[in-house]
Amino acid sequence: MTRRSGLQLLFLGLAVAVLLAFAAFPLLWMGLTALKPSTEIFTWPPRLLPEAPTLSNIERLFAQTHFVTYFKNSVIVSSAAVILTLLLAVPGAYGLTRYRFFGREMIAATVLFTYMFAPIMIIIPFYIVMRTFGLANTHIALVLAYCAFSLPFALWMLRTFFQSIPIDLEEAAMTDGASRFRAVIHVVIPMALPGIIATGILTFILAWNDYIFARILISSDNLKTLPVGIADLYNASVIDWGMIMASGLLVIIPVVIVFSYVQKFLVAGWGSGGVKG
Amino acid sequence: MAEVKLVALEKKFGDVSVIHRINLDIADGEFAVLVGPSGCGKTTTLRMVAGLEEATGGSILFDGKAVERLEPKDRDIAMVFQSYALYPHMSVRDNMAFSLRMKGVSSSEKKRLVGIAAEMLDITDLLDRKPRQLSGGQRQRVAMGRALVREPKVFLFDEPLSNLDAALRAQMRIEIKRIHQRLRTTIIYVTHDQVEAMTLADKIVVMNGGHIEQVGDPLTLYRRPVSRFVAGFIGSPKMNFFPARLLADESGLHADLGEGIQIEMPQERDAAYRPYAGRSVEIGIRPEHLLDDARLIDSGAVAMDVTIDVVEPLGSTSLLTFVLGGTSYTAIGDVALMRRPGARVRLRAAAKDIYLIDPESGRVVHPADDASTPVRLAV
Repeated sequence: MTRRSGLQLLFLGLAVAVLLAFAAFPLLWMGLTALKPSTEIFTWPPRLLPEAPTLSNIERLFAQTHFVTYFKNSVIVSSAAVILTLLLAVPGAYGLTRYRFFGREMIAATVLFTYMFAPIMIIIPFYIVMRTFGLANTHIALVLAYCAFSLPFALWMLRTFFQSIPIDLEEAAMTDGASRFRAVIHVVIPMALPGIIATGILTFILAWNDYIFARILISSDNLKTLPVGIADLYNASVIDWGMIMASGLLVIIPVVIVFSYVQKFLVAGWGSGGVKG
Repeated sequence: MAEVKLVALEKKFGDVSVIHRINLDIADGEFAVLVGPSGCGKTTTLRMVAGLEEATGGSILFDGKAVERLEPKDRDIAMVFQSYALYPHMSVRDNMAFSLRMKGVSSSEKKRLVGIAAEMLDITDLLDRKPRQLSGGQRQRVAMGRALVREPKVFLFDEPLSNLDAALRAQMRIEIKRIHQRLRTTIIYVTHDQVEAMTLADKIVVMNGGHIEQVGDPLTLYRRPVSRFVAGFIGSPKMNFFPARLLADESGLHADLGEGIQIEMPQERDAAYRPYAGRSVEIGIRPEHLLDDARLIDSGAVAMDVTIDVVEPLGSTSLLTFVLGGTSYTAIGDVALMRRPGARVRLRAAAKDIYLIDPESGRVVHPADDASTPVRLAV
């Protein structure tokens, strides 16, 4: 690290503060608005802190909407997407790393290429395919969509991880009496765990935040996920801003908790690969 | 323990053949060292024995049973890797117990076997550490311990000492030899270091370009190398090869090395060397046999007068470098003689220590009746 002068530090701090405010202020505003009674939300001039903090917005959210159902649907769909993606991506990335076969590099490159399509470009054909299979308006369709969209980057990321694990370790396990499968289970996966967790989290976030697929593929209210459910709150004749802010707050809380817990894995995952023997 | 046999073993990568149908017999309990320059195929051969590389052709037999189609796990081998390949997420104890875990050995038995191996290698107090907390030498010991615990039919070592410093390497060499003397398990050991090969092996297998050049015990390879390659590879410093012309006159055969240097060939080799009369040959003399030492004056020693270029004192002896025809050669002198660069000296070599090499075939020409040490040619 180079030594910085006091002035440089000041500018650095200022820049960080500006960026932080830019990113965090809307969140703060959302959180505080969620705790304001409806009358306070529209006062002029606006006030940052609620004068009479209340949980009535949250109460209304639970009482008048299907928030709990949406939440449950989001958890189910996102978790299933993570599991399915990892079940496919871990062996897939392992195969793309360790087996020599014709066209391996081309397959790896093409996989990443598919990631460059915006979801909106394939949503209509995807919907038609799902309808043909009778899967439109099911959670299975959503899980498949999220899996299809996460797989390219999941494969790519895990492949980098597997590549960083010395092949000697697997060979050592095999000469130690392990089959290839057991060598993968006992040696490769434990060492790739930071990468697997990071990949899982990115998949979870993609699924958790998705609006487009859920909007198009799901029509029944009791199957909707949070982003769609919350967006529908805007369609009411009177828009209840307090309730919308409360739902926003409740949506990000689990994400924040998960993130703060697995941050260290993410850093390891995005950083070195973390597998020095 | 097992006898290992390689029969016409072959490896191709695509169209490129890297191991050309080699044959090799390793007796039960023998310490065999595969040695050669990098790219000679020694590691590929070892990996085929381990099952990590598939043989393109031929057969690998353990005690007469073909194993070349078996998975590594079913071959009953243990391998020590150059990189040690310790599992970073496991403690030393778990590393050593891994093979037992794969076998489903009971935990009390696991503990006992790990304990025995740890004691043998003096790593008992390291058992709870992770590999990253160990020094290079300690990792090496753990890697060996992991192999020992398995009690395999054959131990395979892939350049296990090449990541250690010189002092540690010498120490580990002795330990590997001691372990072998104690367990008497068949060992196949790969190295590019001919000193390791000489000191450890019961049997040295010199490989070059995917072929086996020669198989033999260390002293046989040293005394009766079959080819220029083996002669140059075994021994340190390297053997000198003087380009020469073999001349015949009424007094016998002479090698003319140029610059007025003539070496008389011993009478008893006349029959073997006679076909080369009038032809270009190479004369090989090891530095340790080419001496600046007046005591060698009699007994039919050959002599050459040269000018010393560089002197490297080693303590008891000095390495003397001299130049003939633009090429540097090495001889050994007595430090007490205090040679200086530029000195004109007479080097002597006993007639028995001179080799004649056919430069076309690269073979060393050995007199047929000179069978003081038996030689085994590679098939």
